[in-house]
Amino acid sequence: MKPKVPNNSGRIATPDTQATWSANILSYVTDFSTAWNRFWFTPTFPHTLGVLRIATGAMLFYMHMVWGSDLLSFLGPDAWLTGDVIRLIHQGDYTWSYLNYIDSPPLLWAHHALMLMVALCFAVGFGTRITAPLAWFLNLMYCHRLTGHLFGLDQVMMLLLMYLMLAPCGSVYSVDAWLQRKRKRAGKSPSWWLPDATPSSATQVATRLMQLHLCVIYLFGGISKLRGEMWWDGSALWYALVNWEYQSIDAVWLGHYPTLLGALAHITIFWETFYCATVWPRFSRPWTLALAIAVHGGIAIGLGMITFGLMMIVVNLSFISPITMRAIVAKITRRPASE
Amino acid sequence: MAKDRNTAKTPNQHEAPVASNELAPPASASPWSSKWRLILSIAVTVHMVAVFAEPFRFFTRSSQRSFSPDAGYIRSWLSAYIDFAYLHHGYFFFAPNPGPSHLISAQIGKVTPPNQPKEILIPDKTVQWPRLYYHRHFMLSEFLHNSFAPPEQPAEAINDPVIDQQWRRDRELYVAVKSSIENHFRISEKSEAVIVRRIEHALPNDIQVYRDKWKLNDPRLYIVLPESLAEQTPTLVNPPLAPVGSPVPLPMRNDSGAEVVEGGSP
Repeated sequence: MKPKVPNNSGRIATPDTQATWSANILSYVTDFSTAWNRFWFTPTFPHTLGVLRIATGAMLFYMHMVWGSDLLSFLGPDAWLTGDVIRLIHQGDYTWSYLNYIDSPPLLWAHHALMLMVALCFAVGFGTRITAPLAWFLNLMYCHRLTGHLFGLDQVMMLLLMYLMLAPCGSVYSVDAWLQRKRKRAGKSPSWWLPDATPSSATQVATRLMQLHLCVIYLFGGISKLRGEMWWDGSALWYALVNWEYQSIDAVWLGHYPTLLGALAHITIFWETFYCATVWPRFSRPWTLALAIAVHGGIAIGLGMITFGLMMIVVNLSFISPITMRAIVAKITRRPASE
Repeated sequence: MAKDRNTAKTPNQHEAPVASNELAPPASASPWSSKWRLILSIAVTVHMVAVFAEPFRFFTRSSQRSFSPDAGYIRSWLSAYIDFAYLHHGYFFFAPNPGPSHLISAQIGKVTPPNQPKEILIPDKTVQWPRLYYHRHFMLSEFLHNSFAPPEQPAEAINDPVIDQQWRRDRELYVAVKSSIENHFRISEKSEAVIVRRIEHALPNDIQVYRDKWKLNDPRLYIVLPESLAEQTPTLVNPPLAPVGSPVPLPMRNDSGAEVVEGGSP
């Protein structure tokens, strides 16, 4: 007869049941580990991130052209907010930029020219092993210096730059890829400076971080609206439409359809709050992404934030498989997918 | 026959959109060692906690507390990383409610009849172009408003050194921000006489727009905000900008009768 051992629940456990529990726990840990590794480290093709790199680089270049159109008003010795004031604002935190200490206009212009050059190189995919982290770092320094002028666009740009630099995003649709092919045709060995367009775990890690970060943004964007009564009584979109400072298209006539405005407000809060759940299953993902395009497209066109709306759509593209993205690009450019 | 979801496929196959891990080679193909994967797992976990920590802390604010202690603990543990990596955002887009806009009005030059001083409004769609350039100025005017701290010490600060210290810091920052903006106007407009005011552009309700035919930029919707608690309540702006004082302001209420509250902007 087998000895009986009392367990915490008061029931009698035999060594057999203990062994089953141990096996179950071990099985859970093994399954969790396998799922974790598959989620984070499955090597993935870089084509989606290649497209995101072009969009992000182009927007980065445009953003800095706009800063440059009145550079000294934003960064100069008599800027709207001087370096001294920014240092005071960030006293005691870790938001630091060397730009807080630069007052010399020639130096600021030289630095800005470097920023524009890096953004352009990043967009066309030239020297991305260097230009990707450099684009992130330089833009970070601008963000820390330009407190008071920033909004959602800057947040999403920093998100994209931070994760794109972790992956070989310059290995496709880029000058680097063209140079790599040229080297191979000439019979030379591949260079580390020119990343290969092969599946990599780095691409997967960057993609997952981007996707999860986006889920956090939408989760808090959604639940923060749950606190507001206007999102529930259906008047929120009316007050967004009649905001003269945001308005870029006169859509005040929509106020004649309060049922429609109420429904749109409710769709927005449910979509935003549950995005982090509905974007993962294969069957709900297309609907979730379609709503993202509709919402951000509306913000871009109606509320005058074309840049912000566009980049939010871009970051949503991180949920498109690289295989699909490659096929779409091949179809649009009418070039073989192998190029 | 069911397909293996992790089987690698050739890149030129046309597929419906699916998550990136579903069409790539299996996990065993990862070239990274288990030790390296463990280190990276810890790194991505810490990073995601950092991404979550700031909006979480921001969300736990209430009228009673600046934030919940647990949220503050997580945030403080990762402060250096969160601040430097530019992760310190609440993501309250148009939340909790869409609110009024805040503008900057600058009066340049002195009132010397018959000459009127020049008035500049920031942001201004007719002057600032392209739209992103306009939006940078719009954010500046919102930033000035959000920085506001009255010159009077709050009653709670008298017996509470923490509140007192916070008020002094907030006030110092507001004065510094406003002075910097005034100084910019002095240089760019080449005038020593500059007065900067904060303006609130209230949102009209549907009755005002449809029945009373107000335009969205109707002068009655612009209110000069007081710079101190001793001043009058907000006053209407009737172009040209009226001095802080006389007319009775319109109540800033939405169509449900509730006061319009400030909303976050993207």
